[in-house]
Formats: sequence, C-alpha cells, structure tokens
Amino acid sequence: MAHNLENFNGNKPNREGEVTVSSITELDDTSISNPQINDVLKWNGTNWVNVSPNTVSSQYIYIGDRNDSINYSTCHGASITSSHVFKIYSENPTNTITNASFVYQGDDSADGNGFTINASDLKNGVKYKIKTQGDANWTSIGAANSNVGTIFTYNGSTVTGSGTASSFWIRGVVLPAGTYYAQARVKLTDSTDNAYFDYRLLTCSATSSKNNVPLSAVAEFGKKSYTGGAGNLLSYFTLTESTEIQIVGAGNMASINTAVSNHGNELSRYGYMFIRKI
Amino acid sequence: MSYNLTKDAAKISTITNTLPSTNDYLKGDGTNFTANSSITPECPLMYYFIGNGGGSGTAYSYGSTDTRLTWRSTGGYDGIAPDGNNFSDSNSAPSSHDEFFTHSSVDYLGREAAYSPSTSTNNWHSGITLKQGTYLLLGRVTAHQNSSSDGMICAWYDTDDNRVGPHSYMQEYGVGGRNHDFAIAVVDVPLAGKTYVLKLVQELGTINIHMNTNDVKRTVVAVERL
Repeated sequence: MAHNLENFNGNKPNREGEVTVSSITELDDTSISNPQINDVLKWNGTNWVNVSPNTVSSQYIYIGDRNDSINYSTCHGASITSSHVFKIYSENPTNTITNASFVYQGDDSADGNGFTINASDLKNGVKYKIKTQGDANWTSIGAANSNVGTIFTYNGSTVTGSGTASSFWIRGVVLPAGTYYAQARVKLTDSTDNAYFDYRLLTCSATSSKNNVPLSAVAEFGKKSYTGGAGNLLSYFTLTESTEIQIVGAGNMASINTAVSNHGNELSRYGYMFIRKI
Repeated sequence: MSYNLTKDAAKISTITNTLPSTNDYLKGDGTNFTANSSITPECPLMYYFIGNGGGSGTAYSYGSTDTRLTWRSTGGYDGIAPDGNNFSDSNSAPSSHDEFFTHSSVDYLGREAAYSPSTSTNNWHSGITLKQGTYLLLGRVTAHQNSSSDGMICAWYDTDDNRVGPHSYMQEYGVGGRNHDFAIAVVDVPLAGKTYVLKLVQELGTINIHMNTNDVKRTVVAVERL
C-alpha cells in the first residue's frame, strides 16, 4: 500500500492517503530552534528559520567612558582656539559599524594634521599605546614589552631613544559611506558668566573641497551659565565615501582659557559621541 | 492519489508557492502566507516619556533622599504597540497629558512611597527595567532651582549603583541659562535583565524638591534598542 511506502518526514499516510503534519518543524525547508512567542520565519538561503522581529541590529559608535578623572592636559593638544579639534577620552569605545575606526591623538588625521606623540613627550601617569617601536626604552618606562600596540602607563622614568605612542584621546572617527545620526557633547571649563564656545561636526579630508564640511548645526556650551551647562550636538548626514569626522570649534568663543592645562577633567567627565548608521 | 504526493509538498516554499530570497520573511497577507522581503521592522523605541506640562508646587517632586530622579506619568498616554510607525499616534494625545509610551519588554519602577509627597506614588517613574539586549538611554529631568548658579549633575546608574554613562548638567528653565542637558548611556543588559535609574550625582546650589509646570515640560526620558 502506498500509505506504507510514502513517508513525509516520518508521517505516513493513513488508509485514505491523508498525511498529518503536526508541526512546521517536520517540513523539509524549516530549521526551527527554540521558538519564542512573536517569532517570525526568515529565509536564510537554505531554510526558513525562526527569528525575533524584535531583533534590531543597529550599527553604532559610542564614545563615553565613565572614566571622568582624566585631565585634558594629557591630550597633547595645542592651545585652544575657536577652531579647536576636541578630543574625547575613552579606553573602551564601542564600534559596531563595519569599516569604521577611531583616530586617536597621536594618529594622523585625514588632512595630515595628526599630532605625533614622541616617547620623549609622554606625560607621567598617563596611559598610552606604543605606535612605533624605535629604540626607546619602553620596558623601563612602564611597558611590559616594546611591541607595537602594547598599552602601558608611563611611570615618569627617563626616556631614552626614540619612538612614538598614541593616546586614548579620540580626535576623530572614520566612517564608511552611508547615512548617519550623530549626537555629541563636549565641554570645557568656563569660569565666568560670559564664557561660551560654539562647536559642530566637520569632515576632515586631505581634499580641500571635502575638508571642514559642516555636518551639523552649531551647539554651544557655557554661555551665561556660571556653573556651565552644555548643549548637545545633533546631526543627520550622508557620506558618499569613507570620511573622517571631528568635533571642531565653530569659530566663536569667549572667556575660554586657551591653555589646555586649565580645563581639568571637564571633557572626560561630560564628553561623549554617539553615532548610529541608518 | 498517493502517487501524486511527493516529499516536495512538505516544504513551506512549495506549499506557499514562494521562491524566497535570502532574508525574506514569511508574512501573512490576510489570506495566505507569502515570502516578503519588506516586512515592517518593529520600532526600536522601547520607552518614551514627554513631559507635556501640568503640575505645580509640591504635587510633582523628585526624590532627593536617595538622589534618584523621578518623572511624572500622571495622565499618561499609553502608546500603541510599536509596530511600524504607530507610535507617532501618541503625539496626538491631549496636550494636557504627559505623553508616555512603553514597550511590553520594559518595566518601569514606581516612586518609593517615602518620597515627598506621599500621594500619587503610582504615577511616578523612577527607573526602567530592561530585558537582555543593548540599549541607548537618554534622559533629561529638570527640577526647580533658585538661582542662576544652581544646577544638578546627573547620570544614568544601574541599581547596583554603578554609573553607566558620562555626567550631564541640568539647570532649571528660565533661571540658570536654560541649559538642559541629556544624560546618555549605552548599556548591554545581561540575560537576567537590569534596572537603570537617573541619579542626581551632585547638587550645585540649592535645588528644591519639586517640579513646576515648566520643569515638567522639559522632562524627557527615552530608551531605544540598538
């Protein structure tokens, strides 16, 4: 009898030739694993698999450590001007955007204005990463070894020889082509009621026509606020090619001390950047 | 006849007469299930509160005893389940109500009864319990302050008292320069779930424990799944 011969994944026809399939797991093109309420079926190229429609896999970057005691003087930055490139400190930034990367102080930016941190310029008690080995006495100044990429805290000992390092102050983010939402905040010490500083998001490029292109409206911190609140930068932009972006002064500042060393831990305490690929 | 039956019939793709492409979903159209690549993704918004106004004096206060901020949900508007763009409907809620939305996977904490005032404790939120996943937390809770030098430094914390995001600075509307900053955090919630609260880290000057209407209007708390 046919009903003894046909076999549908273990379900045999009855005498009337009817086949009872009690679950979609018994079908040939399904692969169901631990199904949950509200799961849907999705074709993976071979089988229908169950997935949660709640799964939203955003690609994003988040720079915003809880380490808020790092003095801005450790960023190796130049004096603060109205076009200052802000650095945000982070030892554990998150990056889930494919082909995106961070540009740390000590790395070269796309416009060639990187800041080289020579071994001889290291600051005592600050954490660094060896960038170029040279012949510096890395193991005497705090590093476990002299390999490129080794993270160490400079112990203040005399540096001999040469070599370079990068810091954990992030001065830029390289994003691949795409559309993004960005939100960020920077802040410096503002000691008077009239202190303020405008800032925004800009492109950084070796190509002049693509350099310093505004990607956001201007945000501001400090104005007429004795204790100093900070505005948040919000932006929505599209990049047609891989591009470095930076948080840069927007040309207006007042009563802001120009010495980096006078700004304490304001940036590590309040600074953050969040970018989501749309 | 049984000889017309083949094992091919035991495939969803055969039964539904679909030629699926990778990443297609099986979607019901009211009559049948068909492969459809354009299934509407669920809104990632998990929780959203907009202080729309209302309230004055001590009727609307935040807790300062344990420095945990609260936000008012009195008159709250329950948003529609976050399927597609339905959430935008909540924006048409009566303006006299605070606008409030929560997803079923989010639980919120009520305010402790010890807070002042002790009434209406059921209408306050003081934290959010999230299920496993990665989330963006945003919050701005303004409070009543006395002078231009007053303010409060806030941050997101978990209930183990670990700070999970950078500090932010909030000041009162119309007094201290109108700087209303956001507290932000990106958190990876473990399998067991976790509760997050907005905490007052430091008072600068004098902060009254109550909100007024303008404070409530400037309060917003949002949780989004990443």
